[in-house]
Amino acid sequence: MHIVGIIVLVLLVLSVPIGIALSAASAAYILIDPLLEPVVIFKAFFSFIGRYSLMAIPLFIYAGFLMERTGLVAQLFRFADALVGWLPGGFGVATVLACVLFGAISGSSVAMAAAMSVIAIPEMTKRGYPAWFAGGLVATAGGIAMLIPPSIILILYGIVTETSIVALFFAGVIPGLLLALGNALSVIVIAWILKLPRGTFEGRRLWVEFGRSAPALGMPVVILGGLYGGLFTPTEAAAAACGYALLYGLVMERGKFIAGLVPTACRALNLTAVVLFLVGSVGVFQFLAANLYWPQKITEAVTGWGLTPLGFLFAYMGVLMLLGMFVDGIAMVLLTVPVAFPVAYALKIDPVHLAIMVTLAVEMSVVTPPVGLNLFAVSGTAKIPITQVMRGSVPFFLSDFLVLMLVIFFPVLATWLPSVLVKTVFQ
Amino acid sequence: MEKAYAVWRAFQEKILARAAALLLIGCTLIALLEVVRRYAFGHSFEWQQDAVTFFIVSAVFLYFGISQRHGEHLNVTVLLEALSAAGPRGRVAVEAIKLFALVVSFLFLLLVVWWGLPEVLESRHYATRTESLAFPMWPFLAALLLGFAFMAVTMLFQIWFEIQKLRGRSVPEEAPVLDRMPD
Repeated sequence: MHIVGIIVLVLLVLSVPIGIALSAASAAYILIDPLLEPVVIFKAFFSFIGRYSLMAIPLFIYAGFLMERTGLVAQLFRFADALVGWLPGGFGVATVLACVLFGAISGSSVAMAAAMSVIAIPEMTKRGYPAWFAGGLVATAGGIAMLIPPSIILILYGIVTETSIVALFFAGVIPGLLLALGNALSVIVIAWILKLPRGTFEGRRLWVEFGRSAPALGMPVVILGGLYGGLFTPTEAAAAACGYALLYGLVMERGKFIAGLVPTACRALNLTAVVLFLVGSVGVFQFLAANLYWPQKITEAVTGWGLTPLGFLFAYMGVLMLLGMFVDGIAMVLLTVPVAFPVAYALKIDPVHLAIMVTLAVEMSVVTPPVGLNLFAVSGTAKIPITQVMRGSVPFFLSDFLVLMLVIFFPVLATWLPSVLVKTVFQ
Repeated sequence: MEKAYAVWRAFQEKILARAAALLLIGCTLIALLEVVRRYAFGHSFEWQQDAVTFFIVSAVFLYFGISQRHGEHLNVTVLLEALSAAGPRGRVAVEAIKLFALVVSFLFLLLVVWWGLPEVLESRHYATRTESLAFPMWPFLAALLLGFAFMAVTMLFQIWFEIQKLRGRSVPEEAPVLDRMPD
């Protein structure tokens, strides 16, 4: 176990792709073990990826990209501005709300941060918002989408731990909304201190913008309603989301939309290839770990330290925060969950509760330097120095941290909704 | 070598990427059709789940090499960033480390292709099939083998370009595609 761990670490530090580092380290062990054949690497990779439930990932990604092509982000932003723009720092609050709405339609947090940088940041700076504040807000709020279903991080967690993806989707709703509330309150306080201007409320404008956004806002209703009603499996919900996006795009853009179907599929495949390459490699690693009883050994060792569930959670969250500075979210989940989950399970930590805490830690990692992808996306797109975006993200990072603490101490925030709406945790 | 790379790039963009995209679009439509058929007509295709799963994963396998060309596969860059900030010698060290990482990855992928080949041949020989028995398994296994092989070929070009960089020559750069991290 130590040899494999050392090889993985050395290869990771030397910038070998994470998937290859995991598989190569597993291969090194398999080659010296007379009971294992190297062909298991190929077999384990294939069989771990070849699951119907995993196909929700490419389909949700494709649906998100299809919706993004229709100029939906700008439309949602106008609707959010009409709804909450009258509050102190209303434009900032509208940015947070638009992130929540787009998060419910899918898409990527980095792409959303980049798109918001183009739409929201110029408008905020025009209205007197400091660049550091606008940049920090967009970078942090972009991550809210990870908690709001459909969430690819939660699908990955569900597949690695065999937890119901439907339960995880519903579990993310309340913490996701709490994140949004925390960010919105931070915006209001900062706007009050900086005396930033607010918009006016116009009922007619709200009605018009709602009418324009309503078709797009129907998509989360289809996804969540279908899952709740038992009409769809997560993969079918993803296919339905694609169908909805195709229909929406055809109505909104017609020929231009059809011409963009293949390039959009290519974008979705590019991202999916990155995710599934890592997932397959984790499959190889898990195969080896299971054959050598590593989860049991690690669980025995960690429980032998006498850690309480809360102690373990704090230690694990600390590791994730540290890791978040160097690797991105998907890798964080796939590298740590297979090791941490058996321990958490032995300590009787609810798998759904753990999933939400992990996702919150990943959400916060999008703004932790030096790897925080959203920092770079916003800095690059809005041409704001990265140090200013980092400075601006601090208050929102702190409010996210507060939400993480709340979820750690009050598991019910994550587990209540699925306990009401979904019956089986392990499917 | 640059001409060969241009041919390889064109093959990936014009043939592989489009074939993979069409597979994804086709499977999306099959999955949709299944939902509609089940609720509207009370029937379902017994082969639908296998078709959606294995054709989509095949499309993804074909994309491994393309993502590699764009430098999209996730890695830890902390050492590279620290060295980049350490002046010209640091930047040479960065290129040397990148070269090492590429060589290790390339050799590993070659090994996996070598180890996986008998599995594909065996699957064909014994006519193993997917769960619904609707499709033979070997073409999908072959797609994975090809995916690894194409990724290795892309890495071979990248190794060559890294060597050229270390010799102080200019090389073609591939822009990364945004959207690395899904929600």
